[in-house]
Amino acid sequence: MQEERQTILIVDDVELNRAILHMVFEEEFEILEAENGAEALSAIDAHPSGLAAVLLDVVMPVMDGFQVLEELGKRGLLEQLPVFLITAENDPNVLKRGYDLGAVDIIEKPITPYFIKRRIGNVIQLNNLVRTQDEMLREQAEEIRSLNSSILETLATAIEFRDQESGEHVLRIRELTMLLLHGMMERDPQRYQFDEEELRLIGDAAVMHDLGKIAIPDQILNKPGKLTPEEFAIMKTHTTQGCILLDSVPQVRSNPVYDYAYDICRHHHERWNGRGYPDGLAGDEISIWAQVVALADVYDALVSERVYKKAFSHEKAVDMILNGECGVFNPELMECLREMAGEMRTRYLQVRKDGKS
Amino acid sequence: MDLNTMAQTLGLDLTGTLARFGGSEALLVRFLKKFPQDGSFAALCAAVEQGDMQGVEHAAHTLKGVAANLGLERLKEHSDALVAAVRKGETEGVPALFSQVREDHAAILSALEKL
Repeated sequence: MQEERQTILIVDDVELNRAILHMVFEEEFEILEAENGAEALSAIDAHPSGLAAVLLDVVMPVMDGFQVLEELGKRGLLEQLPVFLITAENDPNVLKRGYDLGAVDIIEKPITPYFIKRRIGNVIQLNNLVRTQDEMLREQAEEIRSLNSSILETLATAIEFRDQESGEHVLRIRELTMLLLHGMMERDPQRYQFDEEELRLIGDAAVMHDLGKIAIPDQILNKPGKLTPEEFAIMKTHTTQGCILLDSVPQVRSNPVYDYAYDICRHHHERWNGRGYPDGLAGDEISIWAQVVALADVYDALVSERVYKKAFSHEKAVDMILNGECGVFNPELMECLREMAGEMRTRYLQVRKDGKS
Repeated sequence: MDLNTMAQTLGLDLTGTLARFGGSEALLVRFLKKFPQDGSFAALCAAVEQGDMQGVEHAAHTLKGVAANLGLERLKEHSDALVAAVRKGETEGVPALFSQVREDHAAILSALEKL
């Protein structure tokens, strides 16, 4: 709730009228005064954080009350700013015009202090309440989103635990995916446009890419040597197993992250030339987010220590990828990788250091 | 002259007007004494002289508001009549209506001097 005093703007070309209104409200509010519409607009502009209300006379030189209302309406300010017309006018047509232009209420002169205090005070209170609640709702929505992401991270980490990976791997994939995606958006904004919400969902989905590994037996998951063809066939099923897992929870299916998660789980091992698995998709058949996660996954595997290999340097990892040693990727994505290599290295080391993204 | 007498002379609704000023006679008197400085009457005179009907309408309307706030009923009604006449296009009636407003105004000023 507001502790500091709010400000009211009083607009009237007659000093006496301003003085009377000033007297009515000075106990509760800070007061600003203006002599005509133009001054009123300047005063409103000078207070971007908002006035509690504007008390507006109609007949004024330079710019009259209706013109002020029109201007405020055009600027979209009438939604947050309550404007009261205060007028000696009693012609119904004139009054109607005031309401049509967006005045909250029209108060007739001569004013009665107690009534005007209540009428205007009530509206201001209501407005304050709405603004406070809006703020609270925004904060709660943010908290919920944050909690959601944490839960997904925990789940993914738990699954990664089995093959000796840590929570960091999961976070790195999210970081690298976001980085590469932003890179692609910058390169080709016509084709790749994602809003904040979509990016958040893709990030969450990226975290879950190896969900299916939970269905892969330990001996295969943690085998230090090369996998036999049969073992590899089983390993490959972690893609489709991930999808089965996602499908098995109704709550998950109805969540907006599902589409991205399913796609990424299934296709993060596809390759540009169609030689990936499980579906052998090629080129643009693979969604850009699945492509990006695939690349992030390969990069991360190269620069990290694994059961079956030592860690490579960042430069070597990028070289290997660009030389096609880890499968064929989208040429545009390769360009992006070239550009972002330095940044990727920095982010990787950062996650390492903080243990969080 | 005290406030009550002045109110009677001018036909001012003291009780109603005082309510508007939080029951404070001192405050009402303070604002009444500002009335001669208010420019609406002067603006009205000028507009009438120049035959500027729109100016007459605006000035009379403003004067009406001021009069209403101070409880100066007669001035308020006569100003309102002037506004109505101009709006209806009955410009021949303007001089007569204006002289009434002028009379009211003079009476108020003279009473204020004695307050």
